[in-house]
Amino acid sequence: MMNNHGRSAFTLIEILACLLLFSMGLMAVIGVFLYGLKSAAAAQADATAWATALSVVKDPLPLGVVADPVTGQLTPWTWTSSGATWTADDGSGQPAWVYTSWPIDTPGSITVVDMADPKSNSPTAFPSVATPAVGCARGWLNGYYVERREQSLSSDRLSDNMRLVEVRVDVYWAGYGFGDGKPLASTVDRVVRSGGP
Amino acid sequence: MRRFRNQSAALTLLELIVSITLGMILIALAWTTFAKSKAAAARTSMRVDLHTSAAVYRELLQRDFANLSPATAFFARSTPQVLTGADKIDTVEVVFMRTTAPLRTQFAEDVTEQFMADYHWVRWRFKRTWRQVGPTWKVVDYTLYRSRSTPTRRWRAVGSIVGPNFSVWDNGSQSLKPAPDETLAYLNMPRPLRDASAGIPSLDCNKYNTPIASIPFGGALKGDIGDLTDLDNNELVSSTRVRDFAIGWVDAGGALTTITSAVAADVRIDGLHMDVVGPTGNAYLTQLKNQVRVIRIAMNLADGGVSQDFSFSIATPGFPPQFRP
Repeated sequence: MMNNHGRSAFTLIEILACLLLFSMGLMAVIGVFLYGLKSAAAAQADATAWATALSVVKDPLPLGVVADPVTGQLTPWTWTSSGATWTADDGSGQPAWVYTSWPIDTPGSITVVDMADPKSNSPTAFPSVATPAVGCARGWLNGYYVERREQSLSSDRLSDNMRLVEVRVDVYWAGYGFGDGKPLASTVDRVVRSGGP
Repeated sequence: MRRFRNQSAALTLLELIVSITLGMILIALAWTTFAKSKAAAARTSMRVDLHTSAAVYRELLQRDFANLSPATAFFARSTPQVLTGADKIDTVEVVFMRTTAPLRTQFAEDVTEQFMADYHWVRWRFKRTWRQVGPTWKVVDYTLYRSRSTPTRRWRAVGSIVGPNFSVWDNGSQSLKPAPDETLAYLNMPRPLRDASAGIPSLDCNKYNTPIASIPFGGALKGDIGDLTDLDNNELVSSTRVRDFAIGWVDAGGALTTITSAVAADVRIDGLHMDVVGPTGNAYLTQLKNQVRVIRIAMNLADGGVSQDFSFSIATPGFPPQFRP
C-alpha cells in the first residue's frame, strides 16, 4: 500500500519481490520445458527402443554404420575377425560394438551372469573396457546403449550343429548409467542357433 | 503498510543500480533460457520425428522381409555414381517375392485364386542424386522408394493363346491359372521365378509381347506387361529423409554380405527348391546355404540439422526341414 505521497516510486523490497516472482515463473517455465523433453524422450524410446531390442535379439552383429555428416553416405563397420569386434569406433576411440562368440559345437553349457536381471552392468559379463564375457555383446546402436546376453545349457543341444539359446537384450539411453539405470526396453527370447547346413 | 516519511522519496542511485542490474541479469537469463529451450525443442522434435519415421520404415521392412518367400529368386544390386545427364546417380535396390495371408474379402474369388494372388514382388530402392556445383559434387536429392507388383493382372478368356496348367515355377513359361467358374483366365500374374541367374531384368520375362488387339476374346484389364515393368509402374516414394540405405544379410551358411551405395554389386540368389524337384545332393545343400536367413538394414535419416544412423535386423521365415531329394 502506498502512503499519502502517491508520487513515490517502488521500494527495493517491492522490486526484489517482483524479481522473485519473475524468477519463480521462469523456473516454472523451465520445469515445464524439461518435462516436455522427458516426454519427447519417452516418445522416442517408444518408437525405436523396442524395435532395437527385437533386432538385436535375433542378431548379435547388427549392420553397424557411420554416416558422413555432409552427404549421409554410410560406411559400414567391418570385422577384425569372426566373432570379435567392429574395427570402426563411435568416435570416442572405443569399439562401437563388441561381441564375444562361442563355437556352436561346444559340448558343455555356456552361461552368463544376471540373465534374469535387467540392471546387468555386471563387471563380469560387461567389463568397462575389455571384451564382454563369452556369449555377450554390447555397444551403441540407433542412439541407444545395448547389452545382449545369450546362454545355452548342455541340455539345450539338439545336435552337434544346432542348439537352443536363451537371449536377453536390454536397451538403455546412450551412455550407461543415464537416468535411473532402468532399461528402456528389454526382451527375452529362445532361438535356435545353427552352424549351417 | 505505512511508510515512514523519509521513505516517500524515490529510489536512491544505489537501489536503482541494484534493481537494474538484477533485472538485466534476469532478462538475460530468461532470453538465454528461451533461446536454448527453443533450439533444444527443435532438435528434440526433429530427433523424435526421425525415430518415429525409422520405426515406420522398420515396420514396413519387417512386414516385407518377414514374409520373404525362400522359394523364389532374391536380388540385391547397387550402382554407384552412374552418370545420367548432368547428374550422378547412386542406387541400392533389393527385389524379392513376399507372400501374404489370404484375404477372403479381397476379391470375390475362390480360395485357390486368392492364394495365387498372394504372391507379390517387392522392391525397395534407394536413389541419391549428385550434381556438380563448381568444382565439387553435392547431393541434391535422396529418395527411398517401395514398389509392389500387382496381385493379378488378369485377362478375359483368351482360348487361342491360353494353354491349361502351365507351370508357374518354370522359367520361360506363362503364369496361368484358369478359373473355370468365371470363364476368366489369370495370366501374367507375378510369377514365382526361381532362377536368379539373369538378374533383375529377368523379372520381365513373363511379358507376352502380345498386342491387345490380337487377343480374340475380350481385352486386358491391366495390360500386357512383365513383372519388372509392373514394379516400375507401381513405385511410390516411401521417404525423402533417408540419406543413405545399405542392406546386408547372413545366409544360412553363415556368410555375411553387405550392399552399399558406394560399391557396385549385383547379387543373385536362386530360390530354394521347396518342392524338392531341384538339383540333387551337394548342389541342393549349396542352394540351401545361400538362402537369406537374417536381413540387416542400415539407413541414415536427416531432418534439419539432426541426423541419426539406424540399423535393424529382421529374421526371414524358417526353411522347411533339410530333405535331400
